[in-house]
Amino acid sequence: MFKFKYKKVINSLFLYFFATIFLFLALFPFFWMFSSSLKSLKEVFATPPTFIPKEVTLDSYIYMLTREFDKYILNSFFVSILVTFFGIIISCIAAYGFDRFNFFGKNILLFLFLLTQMFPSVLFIIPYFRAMVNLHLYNTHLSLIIAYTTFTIPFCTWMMKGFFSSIPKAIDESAMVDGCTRVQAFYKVVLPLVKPGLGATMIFAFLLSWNEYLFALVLISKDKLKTIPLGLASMVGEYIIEWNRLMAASVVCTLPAILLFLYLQKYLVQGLTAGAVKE
Amino acid sequence: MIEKYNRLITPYLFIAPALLILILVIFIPLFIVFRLSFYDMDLVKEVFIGFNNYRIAFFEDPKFWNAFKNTIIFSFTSVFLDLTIGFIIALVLNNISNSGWLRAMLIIPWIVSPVVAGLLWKWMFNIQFGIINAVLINLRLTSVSISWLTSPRLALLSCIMANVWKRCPFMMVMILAGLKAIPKEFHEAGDVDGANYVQKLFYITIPSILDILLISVLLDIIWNFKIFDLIFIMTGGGPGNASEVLATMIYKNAFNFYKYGYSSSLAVIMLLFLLIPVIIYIVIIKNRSLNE
Repeated sequence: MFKFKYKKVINSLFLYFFATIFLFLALFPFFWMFSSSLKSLKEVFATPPTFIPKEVTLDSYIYMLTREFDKYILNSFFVSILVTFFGIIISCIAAYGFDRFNFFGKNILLFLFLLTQMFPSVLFIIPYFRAMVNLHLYNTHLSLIIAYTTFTIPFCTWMMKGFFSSIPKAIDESAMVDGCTRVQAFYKVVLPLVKPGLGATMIFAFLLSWNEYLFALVLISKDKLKTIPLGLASMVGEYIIEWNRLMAASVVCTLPAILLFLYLQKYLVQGLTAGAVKE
Repeated sequence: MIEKYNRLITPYLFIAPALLILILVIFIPLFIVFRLSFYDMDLVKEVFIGFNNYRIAFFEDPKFWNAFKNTIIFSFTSVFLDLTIGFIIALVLNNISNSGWLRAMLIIPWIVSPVVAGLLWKWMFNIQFGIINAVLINLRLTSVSISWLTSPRLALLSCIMANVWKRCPFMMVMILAGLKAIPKEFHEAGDVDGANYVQKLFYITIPSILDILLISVLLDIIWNFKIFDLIFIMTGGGPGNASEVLATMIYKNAFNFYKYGYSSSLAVIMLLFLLIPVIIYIVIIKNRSLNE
């Protein structure tokens, strides 16, 4: 009896030990990023480096937020919010169509949606660049919004389709019996029922746009229009890199993502694995 | 009569906006790239040369095969490490109750921007001032500073390490979901038959999640094949071409060298190679939905 419990305790300790190691490996880099951001320029280049800054300073943050990064942050928010807004609307409508109906060409089109997810982004940078230049949309936020919304749609459609499929079709039908049109059944009855899924998908669309780098690199060159990833990358100088400021900017870039994510991570995971696991 | 017409058209109306956008902004550019790949095009000229770009890539340009080799090494090494580490973490997490918050913490590397991750690891790998060298030297595990990002031999490996840190949580999440879906009865049946832990692992656990493993591995291969941001930020493809992958090579040919035609052909080649795991993935998905 005692021996059995003993074994269980060892087992648990073993597990928690490993879990702690993984946690450390996953999160230490963030701790280091935060720690570096609070250091002065002198201390960030100190050898040997210090884990906890001897002199905590917010100079990097103040510099970033007042001199360079405020416009990058605003730009990223502006683009990401619009992309999320348009992307979600179009995706939800499409997802509803895919889930609730069976129609000619449905499987082919679903296949097509899936296929677009697999294309490398670099494939598109040349035609996008030329098109935007020809349309006089180079160095505008609109070009980013168009690009990001397009690439958000397939994934969001897929996610929302999964969430819609968990709502029985009978609900739509009873709503229509009660006098709703199909569209009303969609946005008055079914949509409110998938709110958590909607939230998770919105987060995903927002993050996709917030973190995107390649298209911003190709389509934007004016400094005041840059998004955060672009701004971050352009701060990497030829000779000396002010790592403390760079890390502070990174913290500011990452914080919204982490907070949003932690708030809705349960639904995000649900959405990801929805179609993948056979119940 | 109008009723029937309505019912027929409605689904198409729902999917129309999304479909329209996809055609306009994805499939038409795709066609443009394909067409451009047959031209020798830069800032001054645009000459039709047929398959010449492809011939150059495959037979004359050593940089292409270098990039291709690096892409394959990067992709498969990352996936292998993602799989093994992710699997172990998932196993551990599966046996801990109330691991929701733990899982959430472990996923955070996955959701940050690849630019942020690249910069962070670039900083940690810094020869003189990076924390990794500092710790290694302090623990006397090495006597010299290791040039993680500036040595041709280590550059790609360092990128792989950062990439695994970032992508492993994805694999872990998928596998964990699969593990949680295994009915308890399976393991209990194994216990009744006197199986030890390793036997249960190989004969019960792994076969039960083979589906998810396959899908996750394929998705990971596809994602890592396309990698751009992380490597571009960390090494820019360097030193020299040591960590050049297909995506970075395509970007540089287009926007640093202005060889739009050649770059387009490289992109098409990349797409064709990418279609291999993609088609396998789609075949598997279709099989599953047929079996359901």
